[in-house]
Amino acid sequence: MTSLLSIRNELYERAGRLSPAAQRVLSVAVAQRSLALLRQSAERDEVRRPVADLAPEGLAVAWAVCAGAPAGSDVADRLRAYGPAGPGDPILFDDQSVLAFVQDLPDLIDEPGLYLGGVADLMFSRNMGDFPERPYGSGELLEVAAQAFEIELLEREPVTPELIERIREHATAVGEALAG
Amino acid sequence: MLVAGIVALLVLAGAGGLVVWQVTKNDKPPTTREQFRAAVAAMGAAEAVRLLGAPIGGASTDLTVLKGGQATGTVSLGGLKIDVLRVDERTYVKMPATMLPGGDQGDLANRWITGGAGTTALVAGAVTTPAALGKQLADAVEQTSSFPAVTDTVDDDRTRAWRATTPAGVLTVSVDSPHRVLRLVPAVTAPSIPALPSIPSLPSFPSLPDLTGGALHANLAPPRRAPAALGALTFPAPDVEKTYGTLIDNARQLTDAIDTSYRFDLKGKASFRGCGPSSCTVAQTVTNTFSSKDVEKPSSITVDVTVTMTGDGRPVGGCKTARTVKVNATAALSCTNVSPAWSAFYVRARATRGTHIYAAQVRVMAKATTKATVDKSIEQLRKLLELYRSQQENQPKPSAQPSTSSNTNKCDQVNRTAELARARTKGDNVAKAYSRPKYQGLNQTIAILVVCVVKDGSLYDYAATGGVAMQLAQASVAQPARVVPKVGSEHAEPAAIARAKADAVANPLSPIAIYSTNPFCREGSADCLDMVQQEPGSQTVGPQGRERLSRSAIFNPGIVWP
Repeated sequence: MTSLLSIRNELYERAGRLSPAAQRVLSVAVAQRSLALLRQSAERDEVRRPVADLAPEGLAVAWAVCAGAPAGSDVADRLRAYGPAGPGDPILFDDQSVLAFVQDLPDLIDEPGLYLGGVADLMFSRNMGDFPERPYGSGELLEVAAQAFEIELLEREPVTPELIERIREHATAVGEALAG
Repeated sequence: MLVAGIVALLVLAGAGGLVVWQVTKNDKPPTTREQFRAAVAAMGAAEAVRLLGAPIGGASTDLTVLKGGQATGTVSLGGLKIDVLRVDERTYVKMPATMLPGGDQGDLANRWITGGAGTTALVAGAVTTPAALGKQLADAVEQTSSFPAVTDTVDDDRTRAWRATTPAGVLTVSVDSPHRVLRLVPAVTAPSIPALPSIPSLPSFPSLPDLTGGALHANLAPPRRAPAALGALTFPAPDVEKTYGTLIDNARQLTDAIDTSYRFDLKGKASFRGCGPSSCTVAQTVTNTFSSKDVEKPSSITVDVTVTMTGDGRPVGGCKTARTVKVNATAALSCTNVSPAWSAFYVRARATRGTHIYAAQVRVMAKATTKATVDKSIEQLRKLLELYRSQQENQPKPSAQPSTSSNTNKCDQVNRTAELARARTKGDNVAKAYSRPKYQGLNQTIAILVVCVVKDGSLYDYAATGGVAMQLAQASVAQPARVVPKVGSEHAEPAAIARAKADAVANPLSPIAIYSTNPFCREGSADCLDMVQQEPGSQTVGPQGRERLSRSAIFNPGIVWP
């Protein structure tokens, strides 16, 4: 039987063969799917609230950069300022949803990159007990399915503003479903 | 019959006395070095230690400290009592109003306070874990050359005891087995162990944040250090269950705790926005400066903003709000007064000729923690209490020392150095599998604990993380191992050890070695305690100190959990 990890690894290999611009779109989509999860997390622990407040601005800039616009904003630095000072930083207690925004997203605004683990790892850790009050059983699989869909889109089509918008809408909807 | 019975008893007593006399007459009397060693080792391995004493200048302490560093109790000063609480490696104090400057009695009295360099920092020095205290006393015992003879007992508060003069002071231990440390009268000068015992200096008031440009400047006496002479410390048996209960009760109150590590400077005067018959919003720009040296600087804090308003010199209500702000930064705070008193004032002022002045006073205080963090702390304490109870149930004859067994031969023969090397390789490989390799050391600590199953001598590993939870790819690399789910803020090594001890209740385990990757020590954090070193029987190997990149320890043979 094929394991979820092997499916993930195969997808990551395929993603690694995409153009840097496509990899950036794929990675920003992961961060986009993290937004609703971050908001949920910030409700549990207000130390994460400033990141949740700033994240939409960071995502807007990142999507614009994907479409070819200059960053033109210091939002990457402002997001990084909330990054953990070490493994004992309270911002990491129980949930790591901030990392997509204080580490991955600022790096993606600065330059293309491939950061695909954010939501899948988050789902795995929540299933392991970080969020004991609610089930996230199939969340990891949903995230992997969403990535597979987006990778196939980016394998077939060039990166255009229209495709970016489709992926953005898709990622937003999946993110809401994951948190719902 | 009664007369005959008494005679028989006297004869027996005489015979016993004769035996002792013969031994002591012909041989050099055996000393009690081993009994003192056993007593301080028992203290080091104890679940908790209670420190009771009247050490200095009218101040007395009654603190119970658990092996994890959590503590509760009181420091009394001149008849006034300061409550002490230590959880999550932070020390809080609660003082009566009479110990606080007039302006702060309403804000800080009978409320848990942490941070700053005042009372909290001084009281924090009193919180010494059983392991740390046991180690200090063990060092003192090892430096002692003269111990009383077995027969050279004294009466210590109606308990038969031995007394020895050590570099740390005069140490008294019980004659009855298991031997316990009963009392320490610290030496007037103990240059080799200056920090022992870590009892508080005469507490001063806390360093209060300067809230309103000087309005809350406290007229505080400078902290007075303890005189050289210290009073006796006694160590009554602690009530561990009760201590957990008190800790949980007090921890619940921490949602209201204040952190005085911050200085607040108000920029300019408060401004008013949209003031009308239904409400009035007060805005204030505030700069905060983090000053604590005891805790790591957080990235953000929650502040309580309290606005008190007056209209024509009379109170017209106010408002309270909580906001999260970045540390060492400037933030615009606002709060809206919707009280009936304000509405009444506004309507009255509009209807009355003349100038009507309204004013606002803004007070800002940093909250020490969040409800979520408090909930996690309480949950953690409950789990520790459950673990303690289960250990008690499975140990009908509890011993403060790690138990040893002749059945651990197979486990005792394990090549510990080789297992540590294997744990190191596994731990480093798990770390490399982290999805954000650039940030691995910043986000996560990995611990690999190797244990041996006592009944069959087989080995297996526990894999735990601190910071970010174990990821799927990492869990795969860690196999074969029991992956420990991450609980709250728990660090990697204690998480692995606690899980193994819990499992050991059903199936006894002998710890072999533990390795952890680059942890939070690099920052010189106060969190960086030698948690593994505090585990009875462990011997830290490899690089040590705050700058070390990894930690590892080998456990002595013969230790069996639980």
